[in-house]
Amino acid sequence: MENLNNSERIDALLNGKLSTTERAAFQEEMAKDANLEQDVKTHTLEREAIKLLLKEDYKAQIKAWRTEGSATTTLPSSAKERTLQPKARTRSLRPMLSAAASILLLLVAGFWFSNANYSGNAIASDAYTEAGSITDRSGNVQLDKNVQQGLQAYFSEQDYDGAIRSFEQAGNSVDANYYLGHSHFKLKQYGEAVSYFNQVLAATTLPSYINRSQLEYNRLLAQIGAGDTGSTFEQNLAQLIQNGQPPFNTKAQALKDKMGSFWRNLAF
Amino acid sequence: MKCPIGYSKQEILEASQRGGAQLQKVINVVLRDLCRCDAFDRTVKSFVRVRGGNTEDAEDLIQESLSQLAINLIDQKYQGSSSIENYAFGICKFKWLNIASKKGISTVGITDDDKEKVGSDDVEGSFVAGEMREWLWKIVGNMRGRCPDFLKLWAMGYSHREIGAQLDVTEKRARKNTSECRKRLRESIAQDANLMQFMKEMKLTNLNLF
Repeated sequence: MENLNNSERIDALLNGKLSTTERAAFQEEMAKDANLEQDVKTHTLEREAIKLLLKEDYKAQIKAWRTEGSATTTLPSSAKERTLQPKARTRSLRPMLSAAASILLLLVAGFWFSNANYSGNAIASDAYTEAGSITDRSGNVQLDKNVQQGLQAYFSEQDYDGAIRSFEQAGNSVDANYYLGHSHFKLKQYGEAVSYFNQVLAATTLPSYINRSQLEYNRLLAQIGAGDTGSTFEQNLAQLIQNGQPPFNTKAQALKDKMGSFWRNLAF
Repeated sequence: MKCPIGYSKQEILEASQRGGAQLQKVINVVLRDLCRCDAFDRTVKSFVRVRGGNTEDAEDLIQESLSQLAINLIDQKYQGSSSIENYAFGICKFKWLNIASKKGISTVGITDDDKEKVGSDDVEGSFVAGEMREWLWKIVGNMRGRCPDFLKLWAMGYSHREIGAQLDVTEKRARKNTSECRKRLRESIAQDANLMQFMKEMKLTNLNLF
């Protein structure tokens, strides 16, 4: 450690890299040198400051994960309280209440069924077709190392957050944008997915592993998931039905039928 | 309490010691799995409710404690004397005792067992608190450009080569930028009157450095 400057020695101390003897010598030196002691304190606070930055990042990510999972984990307190309501007091009201309850039950079941099968989220995730594998591409193509890392996270680890970070580092390329769209789709971040799919589809020619009709179909699903079913969606849908390759043209037609169904309308 | 975690205790410990990209990946998986673990969720919420808090308090506590868990893994405070989910719960307990005491919540429901840390691992967070943390946050939050990115990767134990690869610059540039950003941050800290005062009173002997 003799060749290190003061800053490097302090880093070694704070990283626990100094031996017992070196630590003792450092402490002795610090007792005589107020500036060295001050430097150690500044380095210590520097680390604490950076940890605050890291902690904020983690907290934001944790909040997103917690929010994403909260819908299935807890029963709202208001729902629990409802189960504690007293029973109906008069016998004469029972038949009427039973009938009302049956109708209510049917309506709730209907809403549940329609939401479970016809909501934007349900349609998007049920009908989704998986991303093509870049390894199908013919020829020897040198892949960006961030794309490689992203593919590893996407296909091998299903770590879509990690994949997004890597693909974002890869810059604005068709490969990165294509998998960014799919990664966001997997995370149900449909708005972002639409945006990346649009960027890929804007390219005149696409690599062989990307099927344009399939991507157009997935874009439609992402638009539904994002609740973006306005005129642009209608145009994209009509175009895919008319000009898309099989089986995505017929899938698009089925999607159109589903969008116009009674249950879908009940869900919204 | 048992949670399905994507990495074994040994893998977590190895990543914590190694730092860098591998640790980043492990932390992400551990946090995500704990966020989705019903057993962990139920245990913490029940613990808080029984000890004077409500569900909202428990949710805040989980978010705060899991982010602290990430920092503790970076600081190598987790030594593997308990499972990672029990260690995370230990952080929750420790933090709730502090919160309850600060908020004046009755500690009648807090047992001696609660006061014991899980295993022998260090669950405590930063030695800086309250106003001091706000002053530090003000300084580091004002850093511009890509400095926060360089600093965060450096603090996570990334090598300069790894930092360069992550931020799309050469290793040499990563070294230079990290060094400059660190220097700038330390200068800002040293020039802040509040932090200067804090440093005067700060006792390095309390930090277990020697």
